[in-house]
Amino acid sequence: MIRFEGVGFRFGGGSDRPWVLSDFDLRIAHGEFHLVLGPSGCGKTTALNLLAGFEQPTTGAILVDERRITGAGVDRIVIFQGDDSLYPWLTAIENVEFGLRVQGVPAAGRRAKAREYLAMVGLSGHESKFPGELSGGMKQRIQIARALVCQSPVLLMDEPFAAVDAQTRSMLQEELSLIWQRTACTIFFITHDISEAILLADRISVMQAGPASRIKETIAVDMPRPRSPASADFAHYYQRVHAILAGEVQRAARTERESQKSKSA
Amino acid sequence: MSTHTAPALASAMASPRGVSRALRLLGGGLLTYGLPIATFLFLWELWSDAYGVPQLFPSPRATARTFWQIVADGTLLHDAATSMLRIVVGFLIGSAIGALLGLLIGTFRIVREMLDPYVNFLRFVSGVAWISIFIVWFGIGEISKVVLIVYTTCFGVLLNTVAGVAAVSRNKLRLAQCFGASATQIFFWVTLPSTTRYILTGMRLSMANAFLVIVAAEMVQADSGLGFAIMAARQFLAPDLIFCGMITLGVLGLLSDRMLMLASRLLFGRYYRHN
Repeated sequence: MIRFEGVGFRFGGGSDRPWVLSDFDLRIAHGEFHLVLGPSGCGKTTALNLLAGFEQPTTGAILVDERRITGAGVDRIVIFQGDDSLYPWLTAIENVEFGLRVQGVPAAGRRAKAREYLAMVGLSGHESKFPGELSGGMKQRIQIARALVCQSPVLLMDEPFAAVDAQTRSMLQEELSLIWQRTACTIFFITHDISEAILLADRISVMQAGPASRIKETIAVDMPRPRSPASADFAHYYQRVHAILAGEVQRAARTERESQKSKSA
Repeated sequence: MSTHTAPALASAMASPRGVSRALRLLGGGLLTYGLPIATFLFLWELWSDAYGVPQLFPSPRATARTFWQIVADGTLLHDAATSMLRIVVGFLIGSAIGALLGLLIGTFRIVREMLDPYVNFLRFVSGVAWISIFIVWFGIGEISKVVLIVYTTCFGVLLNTVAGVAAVSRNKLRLAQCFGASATQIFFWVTLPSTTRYILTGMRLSMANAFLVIVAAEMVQADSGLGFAIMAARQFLAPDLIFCGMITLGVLGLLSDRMLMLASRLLFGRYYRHN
């Protein structure tokens, strides 16, 4: 169980800096696939970085299974948006093994395990290729495999499919949905794409426009999997989420325009 | 070799198949060397003819004859070997010190704050300015020359290494934190491999500097070496010997640079890769 309890955050902790998040409350159950949706610049990534333990909340607390988060840990592995977290000097399988190597798993055992998880994300036969030789979608698969191989009970995904082409994205979404069903892990997934949220989520939390952002509303998506964007249910949820989000997107755009104006003035 | 062959060669070496491509490029490079060399020799011949005093401006053919003479009697080989030995020993020691200090400065804030003022001051004091004092301290033998090369190499490697540590992307470090990596593991498994190609680039730049300062040092005080040979030739009024020394320096420098690049691509090729 993940809990954000009255979390407030500002960079550097200085009282002159604006609040990025304030009174941010959220509860995510074990095994839940939770999507956080919000307009750009609202602080989605900040919320993820706090849960990952990369940053500390200025006020409030984040608890995982009643344990307060004070730093990064192997129980919450992040899957980043871009490819800059992959180690380009390691092959695909060596990248997947990295976490096991850190934990002192013997070489033979970790090689076999890494092979198994690479197969799970559909990268069999690409073990000895370097990330630079793989496509964007394949690189994201390596990221997923290296998180799964450590049996991380929680995956934190920071718009992981935003930079891949539409066809690859829908394939990755489908596979992630299957992997989640198989591994029973909890997923905290942020996106600005409504369709992605409805395709994947058990529940969707929509964030307000920043600054001082918080969760505006959380809705449950009660649709059987696999889900199709062509179904009537999908259209119903799309309209519902869109209605919640639309006002925030406009507010975000207005704030951005104003800050541009004050900068040029 | 055309000016853009070096980067092309570098990028070719980035993949395993690239090595054979690189060798082809190198071969092509040797072919493209032919024309500039021929043009150069032709202009040299014309110019020395026009100058009209072969004792002061010897022709390429006269220089070539002298070249074969000093090759045959072993003096060129002796001087070249002496200079190269000084460069290689100083270069290796200096690179090691520079890389180590650079990694420490880049990794530990306290080391950076302690050493930054010295680094920023000393990098503007050329090794050449130190020659006299090194001779006073370390004598006229090999040690003063090697120390000079160590000093010169150290800065180039150090500055590049510091830049390399600063350029390690945050998400690489954050991911290692996710896995619970210790500071030591992060250093050896993330920082050091990310910084390797910066260290090697620093070494390449420093190698060129080492060639520049060793000549100056050997001109000030030495009894052998290419710098010494050029200085001695001035006293004998033998410009053909000076030309031989200059050409040898250029060729040795070029070959050393190519060899260093090939070796770093063959041994550390995977650290040149990009995502």
